[in-house]
Amino acid sequence: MTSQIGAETGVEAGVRAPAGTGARTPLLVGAGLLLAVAAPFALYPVFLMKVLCFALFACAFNLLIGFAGLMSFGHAAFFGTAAYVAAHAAKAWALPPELAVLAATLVAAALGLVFGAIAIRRQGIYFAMITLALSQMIYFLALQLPFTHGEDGIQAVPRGMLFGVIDLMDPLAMYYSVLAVFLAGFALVWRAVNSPFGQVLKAIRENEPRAISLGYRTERYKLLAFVLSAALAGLAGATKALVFQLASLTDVTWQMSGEVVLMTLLGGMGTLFGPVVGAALVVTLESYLAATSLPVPVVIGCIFVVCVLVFRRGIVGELLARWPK
Amino acid sequence: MTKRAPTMAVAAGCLLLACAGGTARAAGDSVIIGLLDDLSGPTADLSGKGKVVAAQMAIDDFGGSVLGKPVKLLASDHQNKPEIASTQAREWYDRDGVDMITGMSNSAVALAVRAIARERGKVDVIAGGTADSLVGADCSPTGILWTATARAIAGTTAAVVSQTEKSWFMLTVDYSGGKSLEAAAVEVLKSKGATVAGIARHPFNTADFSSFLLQAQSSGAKVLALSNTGNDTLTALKQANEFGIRESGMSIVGLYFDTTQIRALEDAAVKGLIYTSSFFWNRDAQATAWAKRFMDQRGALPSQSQAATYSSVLHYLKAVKAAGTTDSAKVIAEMRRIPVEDPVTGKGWIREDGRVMYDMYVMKAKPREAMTGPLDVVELVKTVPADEAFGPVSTECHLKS
Repeated sequence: MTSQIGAETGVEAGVRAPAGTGARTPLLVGAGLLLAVAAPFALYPVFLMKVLCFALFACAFNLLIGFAGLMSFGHAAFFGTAAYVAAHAAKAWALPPELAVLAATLVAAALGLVFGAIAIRRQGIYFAMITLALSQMIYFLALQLPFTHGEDGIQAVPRGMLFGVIDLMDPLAMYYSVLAVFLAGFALVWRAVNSPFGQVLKAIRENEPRAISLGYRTERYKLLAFVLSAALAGLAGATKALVFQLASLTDVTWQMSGEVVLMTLLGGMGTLFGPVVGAALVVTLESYLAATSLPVPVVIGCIFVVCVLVFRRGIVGELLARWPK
Repeated sequence: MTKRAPTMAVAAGCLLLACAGGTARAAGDSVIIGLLDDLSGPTADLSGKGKVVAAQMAIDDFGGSVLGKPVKLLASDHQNKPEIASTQAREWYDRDGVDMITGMSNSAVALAVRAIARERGKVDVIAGGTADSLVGADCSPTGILWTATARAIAGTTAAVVSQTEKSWFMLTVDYSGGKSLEAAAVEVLKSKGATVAGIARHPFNTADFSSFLLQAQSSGAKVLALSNTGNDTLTALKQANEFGIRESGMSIVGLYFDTTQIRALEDAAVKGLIYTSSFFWNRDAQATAWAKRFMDQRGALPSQSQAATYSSVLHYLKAVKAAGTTDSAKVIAEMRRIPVEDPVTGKGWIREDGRVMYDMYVMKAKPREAMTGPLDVVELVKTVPADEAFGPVSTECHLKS
């Protein structure tokens, strides 16, 4: 599936790019996949799974800000709601993991439809503030509804048997399942960005009135992008709930919305791999700085300041800009 | 842009590998204690940073080694995020050969680590989280709860104060921690024949308590009970002083308060406050000497959970020595068998549900002019025996043993 998409984009990219790069693409995709497959033997699987979940979350966010130019400051609502729904479905209703994740993703998409319908009527800071306000409502619900158990969260969620046959308690089985979810989500983002739909989104990002004058019903495109982004954020949140076997208030706080902005900006907004790199960087810092005497938020804050001052396009954005043509 | 995307995949992968700084530590040649706590967040001062000092003190007091192996302390910042705590706990237990995890100053974190430890049959000794379910539905054969639960702290205060004051007003922070403090107090009040004249719920981190305080004043109640924590308690106390709550004949009790917070408040706001603590540094000369030693090293007085951390590490090491092994099941059996005895806890024991049993102290903040030194800030109202403070084993706790 992935190679097929790679081939398609290779053709598309070939139209715009100088010849010669196309042949390298499958090779590099293969190398990247190989690395992802081999990684759990070198690194701790739970850590890698966390990176993948946050990478998918950041990709979902990036789809909105990087390609449609919509700055949402409420993405934690989708991430967290899906985590709660998946955790509750797996624990209280004893649903198998695939159905729990599916249900959670659908709930996140539905929530995205409601949020999107309200928020896309405004642009810029107003859009960001509306999404923030709506996500704070979700936070309040998560704090107060009995099934979420307030700040204790839903704990000891069973991972269950995937499709009734694969025992997800096995770390490697869980890792490859998460990797598959991530690749599917990433492929969807890739496909969306490199489709006519993606081109229209970019047109809206660059100049919305012109896109309207060309006859596009921009609000529909924006709403679809919003729902897609919410659903993918939900997919990431639901997967995370199964990986850590818990859903907690951390997932719905506005800080989580801020964290995904940070990941995307650090990695490179509007690039496909930027959010992945950004998520990997932030999660790594959070994990490995924890055991040092350095205060984690201060270090991440400093890195963010440096990023904004020195390399505003983010790590991947900067690499792409300086890469020899 | 797209054509370079795969290159970036490789770059991302390399970054991941490069960042894998935490190499596996060889287990077996040392006994490793993991301290998982808030080291940079809002509760870092009241818990995490001092717990590192307290845990190291316990290791030093024990002699620095057990069974001929050096004792190592690893400290990690959970940043109040259960998933960070959960990743760290898994890595510690599975890869780094950590024998016991303590700390966990956040109920969500404590519950997450408890689930992981139970699954692996590893020792967790919680000196931070106060969720009642840690010795209820979430109790574990290898888990111990050192800190007092919401039920024990709030219930004890309510039981003692309600002997004289029969009309109460609850000011509760509107989330489950506050509500469980309130519920514990209300349950005791009802059984003692006291009445609850009113309940006001305020959001977390409230800056303005005026409307809640006016409600409390007009309720006619004689006691204002603060079922909140941290900054909310401090703000409520300051504003209660400005509104003249005490002058209008009400007394104030804190259902979750720490002695170290007294100095953070002006005299008029805090004097006469009644609360319950698991650690009373003026209990005897040993406790006072320990608190002084802690203050010399840390530059601040020890909080209850910091004291509990010291006690938990020391008792764990004693049990390892007695068991002659670090095998979880055997160490836990020893921890339950040998009595708890140290300068912090005094004398206590560990019950079958993992509850550490010790006396609780109902205290009253002294007015500043009556204080004679940095350690002289409270007077003891009543010592409540362990059985009375902690009550019977929860029926929700099912241990297969």
